[in-house]
Amino acid sequence: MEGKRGRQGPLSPVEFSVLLVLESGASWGYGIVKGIAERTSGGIRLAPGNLYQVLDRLLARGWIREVAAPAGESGGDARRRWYGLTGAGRSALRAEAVRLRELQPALERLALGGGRQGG
Amino acid sequence: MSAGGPGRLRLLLFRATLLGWPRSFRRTYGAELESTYEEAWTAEVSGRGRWAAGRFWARLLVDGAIRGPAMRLRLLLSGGETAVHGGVSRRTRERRMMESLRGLVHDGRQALRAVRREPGTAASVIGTLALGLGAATAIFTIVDALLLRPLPFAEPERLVQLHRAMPNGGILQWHDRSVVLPLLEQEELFADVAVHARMDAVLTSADEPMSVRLQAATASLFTTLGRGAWLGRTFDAEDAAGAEPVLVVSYEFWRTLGADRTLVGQTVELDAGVYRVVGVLPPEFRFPSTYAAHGFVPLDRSGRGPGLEEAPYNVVARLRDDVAFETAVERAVAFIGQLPAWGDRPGDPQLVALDTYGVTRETRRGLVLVAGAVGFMLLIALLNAANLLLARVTVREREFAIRHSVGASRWRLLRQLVAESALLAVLAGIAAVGLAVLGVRLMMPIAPVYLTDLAANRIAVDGRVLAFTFVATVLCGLMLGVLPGSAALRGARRRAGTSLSAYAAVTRERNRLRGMLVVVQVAAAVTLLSGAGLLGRSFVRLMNVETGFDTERLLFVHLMPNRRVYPDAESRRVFSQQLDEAFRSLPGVAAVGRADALPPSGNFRYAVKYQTDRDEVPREDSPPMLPFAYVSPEFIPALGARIIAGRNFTDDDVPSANVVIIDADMARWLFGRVDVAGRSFRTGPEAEWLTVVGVIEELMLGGPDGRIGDFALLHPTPRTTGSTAFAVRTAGDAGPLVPAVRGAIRRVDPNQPVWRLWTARQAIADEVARERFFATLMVVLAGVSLALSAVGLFSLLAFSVARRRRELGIRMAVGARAPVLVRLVLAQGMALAAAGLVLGLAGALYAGRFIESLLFEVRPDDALALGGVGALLLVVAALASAGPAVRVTRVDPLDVLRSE
Repeated sequence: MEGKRGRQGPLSPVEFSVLLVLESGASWGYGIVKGIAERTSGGIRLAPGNLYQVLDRLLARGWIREVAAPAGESGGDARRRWYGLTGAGRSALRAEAVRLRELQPALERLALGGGRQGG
Repeated sequence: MSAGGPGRLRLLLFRATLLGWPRSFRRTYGAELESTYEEAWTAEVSGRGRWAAGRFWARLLVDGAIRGPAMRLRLLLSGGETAVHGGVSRRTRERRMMESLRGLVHDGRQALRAVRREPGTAASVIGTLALGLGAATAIFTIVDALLLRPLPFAEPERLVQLHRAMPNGGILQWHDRSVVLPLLEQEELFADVAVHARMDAVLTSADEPMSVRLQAATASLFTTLGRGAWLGRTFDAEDAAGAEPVLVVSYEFWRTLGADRTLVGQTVELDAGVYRVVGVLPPEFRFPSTYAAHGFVPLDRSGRGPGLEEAPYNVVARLRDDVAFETAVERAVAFIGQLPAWGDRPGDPQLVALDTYGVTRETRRGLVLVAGAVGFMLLIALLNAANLLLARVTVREREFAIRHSVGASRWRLLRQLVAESALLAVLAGIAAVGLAVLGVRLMMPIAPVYLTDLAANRIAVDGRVLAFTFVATVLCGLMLGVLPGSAALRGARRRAGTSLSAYAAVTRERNRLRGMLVVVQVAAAVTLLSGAGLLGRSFVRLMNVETGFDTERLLFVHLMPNRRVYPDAESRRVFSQQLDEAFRSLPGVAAVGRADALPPSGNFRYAVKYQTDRDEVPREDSPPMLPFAYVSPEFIPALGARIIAGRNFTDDDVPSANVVIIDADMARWLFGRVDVAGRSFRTGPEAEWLTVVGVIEELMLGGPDGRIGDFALLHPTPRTTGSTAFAVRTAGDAGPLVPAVRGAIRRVDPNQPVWRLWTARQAIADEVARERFFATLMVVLAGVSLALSAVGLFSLLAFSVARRRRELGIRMAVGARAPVLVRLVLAQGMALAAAGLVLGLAGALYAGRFIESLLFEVRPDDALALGGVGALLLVVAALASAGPAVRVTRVDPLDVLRSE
């Protein structure tokens, strides 16, 4: 799964959501939690431990990195650390998006209840 | 940010849910996790009811209980690689940290090896430094306890006391009840205010009756001061009106009573009644500063209580913090000044900040002086150590030159030298702590009781003191490393491939440096010695002041009658008579006299303006303070004081007759001569005229240094007075009779505690305890400094002789006689000593004005003291130089030539 060789495996939903949130801009821990909650209409609400486990994994892969807090946010909690996408992360995100798009026709059929007789 | 009880509990619970995660994970992300948790709580749970909280916690628990261990397992299987944060940058950071740590360890090991290679030098350096640091720490312990530590109350800078500034300079710290009680009602003036009054009592429920100092205080005392009880509680408003009298005891008194934690709730029996102990105060609590109370009893708002009729009342107030300090003071002072009760006596009201432990100006000066002295001593020790290391530098130059030539950077070499010195300094610091503990233990017995009392017996080597030692050690280590280190490096650089003459130049420069260090050492020692010499002379003068009484055969006894047993004047008179007879009947007692105050310090009056019967106006140059006492007719004979004019008192002389006896000093000042029986004078324009019926020799009634005045004024009381202060003259030495006198008192009343029972000599020694303490400290510090400087001079000369062995050998071979060379070495040593002496004396003269206030009848430029110091130094320097000089004669020219 590491490295540029070969296709990467599918990302877990949480990893994907985190990358997606960070795609629109750097964020801090709870900011990411909020972003994900919004995007999934309150469906996925990350517990702190889970969040940082994922962040740790993404850091290890080099897809995100720590960035400086944007100007204007320096007055916040000093314990916060801000994260942003790396180039590799962006690529990974795009690759996943492509993969999901390829699945889309199948998804649409399932969502509209088609593909099988009955409901 | 959440704070307070529920927030903290929640945080702890959250941390508990994290325990499932691996430690490395918690360590890396811990702070962020907490921050995220708090945000989540605020956003999702706050104000949303119990269900929201329940869901929140459930999620956390699941997260921690399942995902956490899962991660642990994964780490375990994958070989325990720690979590990574921030990718490469953090790893590099960690690696660099590990590297520098390893470098430090390496330096440390090298330093250890170097020290072990030269144990002699190391031991000398450590020993010298330990002496200096140990002395500095010991002195700091006292200075910290008395001067630096803040008062043990909340925001002590807002606490003030009421003083009355008398028109002629005196300060009254106590007031009438009618003045202080109205202040309790003033809610706008102060944030909080309390009134307290001194109330002495006797503890009768102990084996030996004991005098107890109490303060009757309003319940607001503890809220004003901002400090509560350590065990139990302090008073509240109900206690004053309550049926049972309550008592809050000080920590010291609690210790005296047995240090029993179950004391709270029990009763103690005082002569003023049976009191129930409701609380014990913390050890640092000390109030009032100059007369720390053993306990506190409630004072009701009418300010009345048993034994308080003529009590001196004090006020302590906390200023409001919404107003500036000066404004609050101004307002309060203006209010007090216009109270009708205030105008009964002269003087303006003053609000002064609460005393730091009641340290007098002289004590403060003495402490600062001793602190400065120990600083000098530390400097001398440091210079000694530096000198020792510098001597070694020449030897190690080759090592450094080689290492430098194979590429070791200057920085690395210097760092290693600093590491070595740091190691030595650290070892010295550890030894210093031990020496300091010993030093403090040695100092306490000679410290005046009121000093150790002031510090509530908290003079001990504690955290603050250790912090001081640590800082001092670090600074010493740095300085010690830099000086020899840079010298070594300079030498090393030049040595690599240089000519002999260049090398010689470096060596000469280095020796000049060492010589300068020795001169500075000697100068510092001389300054210290001068201070010690002056203080010593001053103390000796003090001890030899003419007392006017027989110090060897006199006992002073002072009692405070138990108020319950002797409630009125008649009973006290009977008691006094019984004691008088009991003392008289003791074998070995020659005479007994009674008074209301005893030498060396009696009562005193101030704002005095004398006017004799021949003066038209009162004299402006009157000494403002006048010591006085009321004495019975046998008192003067009992003292052994000689009457040189007129007569002694008789039974017919009563106080109302305004007849007095004065001492010769006073007579001479007032009238110009001593035979002035029959003349009159008064002590102020409103005072009554007093007629002199007799004059005695100079009597010490104002303290040995005359701090309360040089005169003595005696009023008569009849033989049958109720006074309970006795002067007992003995046939032989007074000391052995102390137990007999104590026994006599016990026979008269076994429950009467004795306030003071000592010989006249002990009484005087107690008065000068402070001067003795500081003089002793200075002498010890100066003595050690002199010894260290001598060692420094010695080692320098010895090294010089050893270095110049070849030169000396050649000289001797070509005919120079030994005595000439000996004189050469001696001259070198004496020259250095002389230079140091001049410098040191100049310093002593300059610092003279600071020490002036501590001296008694000795000028700061006293020739005898300074001359003595000079002589002592020259003798010691000669002795120090003698050793190396003698070694010169042992140089065998043949031996030297052969070895070259």
